[in-house]
Amino acid sequence: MNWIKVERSEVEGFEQSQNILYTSKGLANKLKSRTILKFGQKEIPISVKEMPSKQEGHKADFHHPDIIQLSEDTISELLIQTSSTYQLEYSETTIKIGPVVGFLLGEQHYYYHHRRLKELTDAMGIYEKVGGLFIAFRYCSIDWQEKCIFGHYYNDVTKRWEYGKLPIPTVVYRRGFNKRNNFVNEYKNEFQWKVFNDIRFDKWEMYCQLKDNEKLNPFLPVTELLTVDSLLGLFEKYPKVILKPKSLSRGRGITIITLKSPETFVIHDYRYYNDLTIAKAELEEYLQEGKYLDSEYIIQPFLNLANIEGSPWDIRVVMQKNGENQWICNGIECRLAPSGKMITNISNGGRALHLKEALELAFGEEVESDLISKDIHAISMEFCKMMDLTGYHFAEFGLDIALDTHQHYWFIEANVRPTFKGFKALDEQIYKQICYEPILYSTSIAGFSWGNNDDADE
Amino acid sequence: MKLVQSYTADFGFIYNDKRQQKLISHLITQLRPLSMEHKIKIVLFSLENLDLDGTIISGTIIEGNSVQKGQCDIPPFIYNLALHSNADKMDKMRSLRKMENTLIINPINRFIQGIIFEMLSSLPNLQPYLLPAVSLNTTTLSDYLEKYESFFIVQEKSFSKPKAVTIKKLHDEYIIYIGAYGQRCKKDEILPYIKKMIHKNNHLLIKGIDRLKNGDVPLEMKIFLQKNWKAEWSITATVANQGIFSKSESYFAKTRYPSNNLGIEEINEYTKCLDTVSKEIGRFLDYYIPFVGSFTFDFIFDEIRSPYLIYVSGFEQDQNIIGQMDSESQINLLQNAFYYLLFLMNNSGMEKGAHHELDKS
Repeated sequence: MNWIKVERSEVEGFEQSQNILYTSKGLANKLKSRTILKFGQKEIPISVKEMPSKQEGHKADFHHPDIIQLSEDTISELLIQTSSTYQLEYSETTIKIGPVVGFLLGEQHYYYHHRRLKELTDAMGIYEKVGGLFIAFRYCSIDWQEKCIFGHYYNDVTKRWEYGKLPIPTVVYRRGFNKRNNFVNEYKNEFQWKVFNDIRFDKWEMYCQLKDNEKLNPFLPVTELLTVDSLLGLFEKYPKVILKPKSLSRGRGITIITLKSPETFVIHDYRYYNDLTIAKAELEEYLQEGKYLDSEYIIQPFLNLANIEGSPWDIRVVMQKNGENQWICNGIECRLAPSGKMITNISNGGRALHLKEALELAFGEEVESDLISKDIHAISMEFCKMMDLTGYHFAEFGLDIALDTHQHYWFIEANVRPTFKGFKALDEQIYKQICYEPILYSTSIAGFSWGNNDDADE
Repeated sequence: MKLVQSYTADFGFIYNDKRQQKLISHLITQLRPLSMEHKIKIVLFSLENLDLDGTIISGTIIEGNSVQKGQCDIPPFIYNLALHSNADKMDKMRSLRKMENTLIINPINRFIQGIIFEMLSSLPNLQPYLLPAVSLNTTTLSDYLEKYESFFIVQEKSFSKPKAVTIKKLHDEYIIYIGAYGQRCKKDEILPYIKKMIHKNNHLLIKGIDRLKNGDVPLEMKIFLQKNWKAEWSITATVANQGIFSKSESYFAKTRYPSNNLGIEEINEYTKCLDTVSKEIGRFLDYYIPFVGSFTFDFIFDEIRSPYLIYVSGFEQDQNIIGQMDSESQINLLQNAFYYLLFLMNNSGMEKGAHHELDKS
């Protein structure tokens, strides 16, 4: 693995404006027959020359990288940030500097700044293993004429995200799923970028993907699209039904309806403090007025989940692809709903617990927590393998699994861009690994390796 | 429980019900002919009358010549003309911004100066128009007191009209200017004085300059910039001698304010230069801040007549903006807003990249 830093050329005069790469004798010998220099999506013809003033004598590592010098014009053309430390890879004809990875941001903030990129800063804790240029951007950041990005890049010297004119990345880690960000898929051919987490299925689409899988089907609650008839049909079999908006996450928009008597429903809308009782004849009007029928909801029987002191809890499993392109489970946390609440999400006040702790609190100390842990891994792995067959490129899932009072597993939902709030409180090491894994994966699919993993040289 | 009628407007304009009552009559007068000419249904509303759960607006509906109070669905294109200062309204604006089927222009009208200046300082072309600036804390303040003969302090964000304070070293003392009035402060008292003055609010420190005067007062120019019918940045109005240093509340217009040391031709020359710089700043900020339809830039000048950007705000920071404009600027303001929405509507079917490319001047 070759670590390098790019400097502005000290050579003055005619050769300054030429596409010449100056480096130490040793590296120049390895690179001299190469004629193309690639950085992100940009490439230029290059010739390599030895820089006599640069002494060798050490094996380059992240902290003592080889120096390559390029002219100011070449640096500007390729949009290289000289504060970064890079990896250098070379094939028969091409020298590649990188990795150049983009984080496509979502709509959490109207405009971004270092202090609003905390999770990405945490992920950059692994920067010394991968090096390269990490770019945070949105669709408005792209200059379509110049084919460059005005976004943020991580400066490892200042440990801050800074503003700059940047190259189009070779790998895009999609972290925002509003419709506007779909451009990233539409431009795959033009930009030749590899996009992962390229799509988010809504709850109904996900159910349709899962229901035909024989191994996963037993864990799926009965699920239907909401209509007045489908809802009444479900009430013929179940006394309590949960309504979930197809496209919202973090417990938003959830309503629970209970059949109180043959002619009466009690409605628990998460937004309101008090429950509402309505007559069966008013159900259609209630659904219409609340715009449930316009907004596309799914309905499921309300599961009698195992509880801890009366509060429901569920399990969040983080599955990620590692640098070897394999799915691994990087964390399991349990989320306990706040007292008196039915929704477990941490963002709604839920509390994080370790799996063993939650199982023992729910089922007693004799519970077979190792066996349950193994089953959860198996269900999660089956899910990920199935998603790989959809033809989309996924590398991260947050799976919500629950156990009912009979210790039956229920697959609640899968999130493509899960939040990791619970892990941060529960176990700092696990949280860090969850932050780092996509960085290693991005580096790998960008065609680079990482520290201590591949010291192979030509 | 009642079912509401479903009426769809094409465009929405948000105003502040309490502070912008005067705006309503201007909006009706100017938007009515545009509604008629382009067959566009418009709803004027305040956030109090937006029901996000029901996705219903109660407001003034303009359809051609007809103007009436009524209800309608949330329109696909909305232009925000108001500054929203309470948590409830800011939450509503945030939700509106995140709605998939609605595009809101100017979802935020108040910018954090430190962030804006950090963005701007990354563009080499803009360096000649920027002074060194940094967020104020004890370390940076001590550094600026040590390094510079004078510096300015401006609030990072403000709901009221932003004002700058000038701190100037004079022998063993400092003079603190707020507006035209100066107050002396001993050297060892300056730090506690400034800390007390800024209270706990965030402020920006900007290196001071000796400012060019227009007559007796330092020259300030305020540029009002808007996206126009081609989605290009254009100058709606320019005003001299009104800004964040000035105490005056003079009306602004295209009229210049010549004096004995600055002739009309010179001011026109500055205006031309600032027009160009302002448009470039607007184009650059588009990459970082999406869906802005208007900006206000405050500039000052040094004694060799170089302009410096000193404050960036949303257009509608000043609640009396319409009242202070001459009729030409008033027309420009609302026409630009309407035609920008029309551009977005007519181009909304285009592919994202092509659309974004068009939405650049």
